[in-house]
Amino acid sequence: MTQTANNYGKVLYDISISKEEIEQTAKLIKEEPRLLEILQDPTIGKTKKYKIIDRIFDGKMASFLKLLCKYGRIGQLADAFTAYHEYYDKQHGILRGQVYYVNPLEKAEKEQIVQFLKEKFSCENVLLEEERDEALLGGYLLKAGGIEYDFSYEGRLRQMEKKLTGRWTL
Amino acid sequence: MSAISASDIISILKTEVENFNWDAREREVGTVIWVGDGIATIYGIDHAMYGEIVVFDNGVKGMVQDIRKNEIGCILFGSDTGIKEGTKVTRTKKKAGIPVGSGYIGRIINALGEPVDGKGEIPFEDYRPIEEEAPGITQRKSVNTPLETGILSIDSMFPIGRGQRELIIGDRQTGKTSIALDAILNQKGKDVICIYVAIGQKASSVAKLVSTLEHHGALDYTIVLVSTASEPSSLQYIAPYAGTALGEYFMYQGKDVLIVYDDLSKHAVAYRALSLLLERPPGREAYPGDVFYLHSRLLERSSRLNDELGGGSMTALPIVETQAGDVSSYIPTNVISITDGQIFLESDLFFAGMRPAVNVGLSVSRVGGAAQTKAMKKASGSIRIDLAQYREMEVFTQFSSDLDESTKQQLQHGNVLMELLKQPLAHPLSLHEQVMTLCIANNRIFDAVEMKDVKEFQRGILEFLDREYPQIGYEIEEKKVLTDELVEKIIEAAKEYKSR
Repeated sequence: MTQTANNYGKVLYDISISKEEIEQTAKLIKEEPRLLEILQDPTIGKTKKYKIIDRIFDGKMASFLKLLCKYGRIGQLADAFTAYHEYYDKQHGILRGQVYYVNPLEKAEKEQIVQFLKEKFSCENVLLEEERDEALLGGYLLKAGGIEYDFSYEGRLRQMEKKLTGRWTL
Repeated sequence: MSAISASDIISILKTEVENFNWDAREREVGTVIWVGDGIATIYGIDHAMYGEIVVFDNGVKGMVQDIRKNEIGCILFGSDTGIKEGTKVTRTKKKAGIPVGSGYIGRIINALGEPVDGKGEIPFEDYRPIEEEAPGITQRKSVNTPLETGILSIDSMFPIGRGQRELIIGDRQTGKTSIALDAILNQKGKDVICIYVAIGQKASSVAKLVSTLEHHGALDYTIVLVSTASEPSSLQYIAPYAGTALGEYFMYQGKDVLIVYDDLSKHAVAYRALSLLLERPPGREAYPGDVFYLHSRLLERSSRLNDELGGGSMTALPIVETQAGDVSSYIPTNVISITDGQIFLESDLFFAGMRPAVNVGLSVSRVGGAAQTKAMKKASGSIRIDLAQYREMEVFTQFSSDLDESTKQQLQHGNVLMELLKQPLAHPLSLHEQVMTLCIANNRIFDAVEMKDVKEFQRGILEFLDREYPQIGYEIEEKKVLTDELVEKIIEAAKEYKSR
C-alpha cells in the first residue's frame, strides 16, 4: 500500500462519510469491475467520467471519486478503502484477530481469547474472525496485531522437529 | 545389551512427548509481498530491528537491511525457491551472528559458520554477533610488537605490527594473495591464529590455496572462511564480518590473530548489488553512499587490546584489486585512507622478475619503526634511502656509459639490494636471516658478487652462518638486538665464507 492510498484513506475518515456508504461503494466496485476499468481508462474524458459518477453516486462520495479521477489515482481506490478501514479501527480502538481452528471453539474459550487480546493490546473492541483449517490437525492458531500465538498440533510438531534436528546457526 | 522391544521404544517416546516443553510464546509474523534477486520485501513485523534475523516458512533465514513505513527489506541467506508472495516470515529478535570456538581452527567454513570441508560438525563454545562495535580508545594499546611476514622487503621497510591494518593493493596477477599466504605460512609456531576470508573468489583458487596451506602444515592454525563467486551476494557481504567475529573471539581471549580479507573490492561490488536491489540511491561508480563506512567499520575492529582485556590483537591484511594500476579510483582510495599503510604491487615490476613486486616508493607503513625489533631497525636503517638513491641514479645514468667509480658502486649496490629483495613463494626468512642478510649487504660484501650469483651467495652464506656460528642467529632471535659486536662477528664470518 502506498503512502498516497494511506492519505486518501485518512481523508475518507476525516470528511465523515458513513461507514455503510463506503462498504456499499466497495461492494459495488467489486461486483462491477467494469466501472473501475472505465474510470481508469485514460482515453475517456474527465467530463464523461464525472457524468458516470454523478449518475451512480452522490454527495461526498461522488466528489471524492471525482477527485481521484482528476488526479489519476482512481486505481488506488481499493487500497484507499483498506487504509480507511485500518484507520477507522485504530480510531475506534478495534482490533481484528483471526482464529484458525479444527474443532469449533466453545463460547467460554472465545471470551477468554477476546479478554486476553483486549488486555494485551489495550483496545476496547475485538473482532474475532473464525476460520476452519484442517491443516492444523488440532488445537487453534490465533493471529492479531501482527503477532501469532500457535496452539495448534501442527505448530507443535514443527517445533518438536526443529528441536530434534535443529542446529544453532545465525 | 538386551534387546528393546518396539513397545518400549513407543513408551519412551510417549514420555518424551509428554514432557516436551512447548514453546507457546507469541511470535511476530509478517508476509512476503515481493521476492527476487536475493531480496525479499515483507509486510508486517512492525518491530523488526535493523540487522535482525528473520526466518521464512521454508527455513531460509534473512537479515533486515531496510526498514520503511509499512514494510521491511531483507537480504536472504539462501535460495529464494519456495519463498513466494504470502510466505510467512517470523521474527527471531536475534541479531545476525555465528557460532565461534577453538574447534573452528583448521576448518573451512562458509559465511554462516557452517563447515564446508566435509569433516563433520564443528563444536562451538560461544555465539558472536557478526556486527560488533570496535574497541574504544581506552580499550586499546599502541601497536609495538612486530608481526613478521617473512618477506624481507616488507619486514625491513614496511614492518607490520600486531593490531595493524596493512592494505595489500595491486593489479590482478601481481601476487597479492601470495604475500598474504606467505604471511600466514610464516606464522607457523608463533602462536598466531590465522583467518583467511575469501570473498567472491573462484572455488578453484580457494581449493588451491587450501592445498598449499595443508602442504606446509599451516592449516593447523588457520581458519578458511569461504564465500565463493557463486554464492548469493548477501553471503559475500557478511563473510568478512563473520570472519572478524571469529577473530574477535580469539582476540578477546588474549590471543594474536591475523586476518586476511581477499578481497575487499569484490566485497564492495557485492554490497553495491545488494544496495541497488534495496533501492538505495547510487553514488559514485554506482556504489551506495555508505561504502566507506562499510569498510571502515570492518577494519576498525582490528586492534591491539590493552593488558586488562588480555592484550590480544587482530592484525588485518585487506586486499584490494586495482584496474591498470589506478590507486586513485573509489574503493582503493577509501581503503588506503582507512588502513595504517599499504603495500603496493606493480605489474611492471612483476614481469621484470622482481617478485614480490613491491613498489618501494609508493608502499608505506604508518606504524613503521614502532613495530620493528631493534635488531631489524638497526640493520634496515639505510636500505630505503639507498634504494631511493639507486632509483634516481638509474634513471639519470640510463644513457651515459662512462660513469665515475662512486656512481658505479652505488648502482652496483642498488642492483644487489634489488636482487636480495627477490624472494620465491613460500620461502619465508626468519628474523635472524633477514638481519644477517641486511647486515652483510650494508657492509657491501655482496657488491663484489656477480649479479646472477647474488641469491645463491645469500643462501650459501646464511646456511654457513647457521651451521658454523649458530650462536649469532640465536642471540639475534633471543635478544632481538644487533650489537656492534654481533655485526663484527657477522662480517668476519661472511668474509670467511667469501674467501673459501
